[in-house]
Amino acid sequence: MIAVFDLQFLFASALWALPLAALPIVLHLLFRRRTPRVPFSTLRFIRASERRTAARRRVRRWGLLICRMALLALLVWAVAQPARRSSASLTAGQSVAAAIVVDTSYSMQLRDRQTTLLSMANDAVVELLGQDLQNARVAIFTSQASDPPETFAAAATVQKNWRPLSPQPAPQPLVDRVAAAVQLLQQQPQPQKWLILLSDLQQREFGRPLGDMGKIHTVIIDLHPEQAASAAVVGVQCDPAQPRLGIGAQIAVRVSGPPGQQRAVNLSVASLDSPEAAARPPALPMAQLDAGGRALLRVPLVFSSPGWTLLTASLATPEDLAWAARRGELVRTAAPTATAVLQVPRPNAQADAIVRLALDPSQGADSAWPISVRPAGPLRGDERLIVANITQWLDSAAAQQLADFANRGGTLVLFIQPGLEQSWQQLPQDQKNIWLQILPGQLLWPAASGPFHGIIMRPDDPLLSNVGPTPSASGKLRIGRMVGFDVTDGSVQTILAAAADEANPSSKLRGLLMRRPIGAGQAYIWSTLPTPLYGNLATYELFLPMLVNSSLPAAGQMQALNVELGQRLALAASESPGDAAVDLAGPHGPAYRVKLSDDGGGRRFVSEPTSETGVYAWKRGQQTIAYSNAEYPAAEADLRYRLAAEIAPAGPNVMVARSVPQLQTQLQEAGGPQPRWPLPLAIVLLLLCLEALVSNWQRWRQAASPRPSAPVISAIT
Amino acid sequence: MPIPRYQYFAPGDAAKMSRLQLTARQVVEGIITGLHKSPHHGFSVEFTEHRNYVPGDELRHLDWKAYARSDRHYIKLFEQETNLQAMLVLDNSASMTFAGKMDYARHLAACLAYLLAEQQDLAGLAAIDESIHVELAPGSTAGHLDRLFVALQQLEAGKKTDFAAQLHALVQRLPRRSLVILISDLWMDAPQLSGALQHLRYRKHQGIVLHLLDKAELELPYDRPVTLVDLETDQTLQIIPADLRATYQRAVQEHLTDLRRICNDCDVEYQAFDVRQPYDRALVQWLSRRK
Repeated sequence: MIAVFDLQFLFASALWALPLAALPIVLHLLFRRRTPRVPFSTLRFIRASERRTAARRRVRRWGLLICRMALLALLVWAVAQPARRSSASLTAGQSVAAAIVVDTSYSMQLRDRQTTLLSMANDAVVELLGQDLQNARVAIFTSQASDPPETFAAAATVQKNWRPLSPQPAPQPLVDRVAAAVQLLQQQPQPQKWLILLSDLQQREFGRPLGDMGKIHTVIIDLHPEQAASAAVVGVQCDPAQPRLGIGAQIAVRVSGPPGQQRAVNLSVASLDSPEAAARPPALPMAQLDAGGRALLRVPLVFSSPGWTLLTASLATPEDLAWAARRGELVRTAAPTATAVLQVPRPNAQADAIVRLALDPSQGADSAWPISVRPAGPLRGDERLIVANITQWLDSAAAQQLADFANRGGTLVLFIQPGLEQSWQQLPQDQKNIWLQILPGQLLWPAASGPFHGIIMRPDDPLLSNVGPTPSASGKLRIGRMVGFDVTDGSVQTILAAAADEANPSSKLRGLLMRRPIGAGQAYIWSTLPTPLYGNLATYELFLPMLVNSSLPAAGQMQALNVELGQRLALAASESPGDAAVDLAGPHGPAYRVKLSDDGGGRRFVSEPTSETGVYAWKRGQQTIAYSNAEYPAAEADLRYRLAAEIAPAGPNVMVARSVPQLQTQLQEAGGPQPRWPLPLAIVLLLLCLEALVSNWQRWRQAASPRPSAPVISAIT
Repeated sequence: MPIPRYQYFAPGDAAKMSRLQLTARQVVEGIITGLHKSPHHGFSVEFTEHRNYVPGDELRHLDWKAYARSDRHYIKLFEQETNLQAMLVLDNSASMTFAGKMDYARHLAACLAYLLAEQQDLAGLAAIDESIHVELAPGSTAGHLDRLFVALQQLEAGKKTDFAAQLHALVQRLPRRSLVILISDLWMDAPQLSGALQHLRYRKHQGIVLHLLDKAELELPYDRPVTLVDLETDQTLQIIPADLRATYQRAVQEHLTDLRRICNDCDVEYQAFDVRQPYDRALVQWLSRRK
């Protein structure tokens, strides 16, 4: 094999035949000599004719000659088998900069051939560093950005400091980490830039393709098992999220796995406060995975004792992704909420009675009822819910007391009597300011006249959970009078709205029931009183369950119960009033102190990022005051493979392998000469066609056009 | 008349020619009474017209019948028939050697000379290329024919042709109204030929053009590339006949059309001869048709 002008020929001896390209000229000359000499009477007419056609014929002759010479030259070229060797080489030493992106997400713990994918990735990195990249500049990227940021270093240095990678939380998709690696790679001075991606190529990690990589050589080592058949519990949910004692709830278990297969699922219910009081676990049906590889199991469950309950769903058979076969969900069954109906200076007795009856229909007779309504009187300080019919603006001190209650994590439910918008105008500004910490905004004056009808704006709101079908009931709520608010705070959520025009429900919507987060707590503001004078709110079928659900803790407090591994645990300050710090004990590790902080989500205790799964206990001294649960990310248990070709479309700079040896084989093949003779052959065929066209053009033209007949001598006279 | 053996006149030719006549279609001036109309009015058999009697006229020519009818004296005039003086003009340029046209022309000239002599007409011979090579004054005796046939035998093809110019000179020298028979392939400029023919007619000669053509000249029938050699100039030209054939045939066609038009305009009789057809048959056909 020899190289000529950067071209290589696998059968270079054939190039000696290149002078054959002159064959048409030789034949032409020989052909000219053999032309017979014919005496002719006169050339005068032939010369004239020849002058007319000479130029055209000359062009055609030269074209034909060149065509035939090129034809022969290209034939020789094709026979010599021109080949091209890729200039890119991973082993090009110091001219190579390689960014190795290793997927360290929890899904890489999937076992394949007696080892995990992450172990295979670790081995691959070691192999690459020790062999192909030993003289290159290398940077290692993982699913989690490092601090300090990744930098390029000599492969020997990287190898020296190498520690096997362990599973990490993946706060961002791996494709973003690849983008970061590419950005850093492009800043490197080395002429050859390689991106090596080791991943199981899950869909969640690659929501989009890698994009245009420019001149960067991309290697994807696809570690996904060829026959993955691992199933996982990807979700355990209690509906409602905070069940009530004695009120039925539903437990939903979501299973993901190979389509069409079945899995047996066990559900355990464990009480963390009193293990002996645990509810009997219901039996779950067999999970039949559909064509999409998903199954949803639902079972009813009644929580009989207050406190912390851990629901654990697990697959009966061992799975390749071991941790995903089990999943827990911590549920807090609250004790009856201590509730006070606040007395205002000029109370509306009817409204108070309705509210009391709605909060506790049995009026204390049912001990399992989740709300315990206190008799009228001063606040005791342990209330979690305060309900007030505001028939007159409370003074600044009382208003400030309500605001502080909410800030500490309590829930306020306020019914604003229509007509107060007039007195709102006369309130002192400082008093207004205190009220504006609670209310959704300034009261509008004059108020719009009714009647109005109610519209449910947030059907999925927790306030409407477990209350049955709601949208059909939206038109049954009639309001005669209500106050209007100029809502400017973006955190205010309108749960119920009122519209004046029934024909066009979207016109002139006003907030009828709004929720405003206040510190660690929240406030629900109704724009009217629940008396027949102002509408049918008291008899509205959703009024009672919504009012009861108002006693649920704020959403932020609920989210802290169950977190994914790597996230922080949080405990509302109201759970441990008066303490500046509490202890947090991990599932297996020692307890450490967590200080009270105010990070914008209210005053609360916020832990370090979780590092292990299981139940964490919040402690004040030796007393456990709350629990939190950390689980592996549910999304990583849901294994959805994406093809490498979809992530990086095939191209000259893209290689996909399933292992390092396979990659090395591919690199060797790519480094070898690749025959490039189809193009010359294609040109040869084209020239053949052209040659036939040119050489037969005259014949075809004569055949197509009628030939002029020669004069007949006998007809001349 | 004894028929000696000549190369270009066979005994069979004499037999065929003896049944034919070549007459002038216009009046010619002769010295003896013959087949041809003379410009001079005489007193013979063929009545022409009457004229008034003038003193001195011979009374034997007075038309007594006309006198009896009209009581006037008229003299009867008759056409005087005379013999023909013809000049056979051969193109002996090199182009006439193509396809045996030269021999064909010799045969034609010999036959026509014999035919003219047979009908008591005078036949002369001139061979022209760049100059006038042979010029025999018209005659009709056996000795003259012998000299003419020998001259045809000894005639060699010249090189280039200046046919039109030489024809001018020849026409100028012809003493009286004659029949001029041109035998040529006419590969010359049509305007020059036109000038020569006009001159011929101006001198009140009658002209006949016998145009010798070969099929190859009209069709350019070669199938493969050939190098053509011009017989007159020796110039060569390599051609691919298929490329040129169409345009060549069109050019030749136009040239022939021009020749016919020129002859027609000059009142010169034109006849094309295919040299691949036997000369005697072609001559018999032409003369028979002409008669």
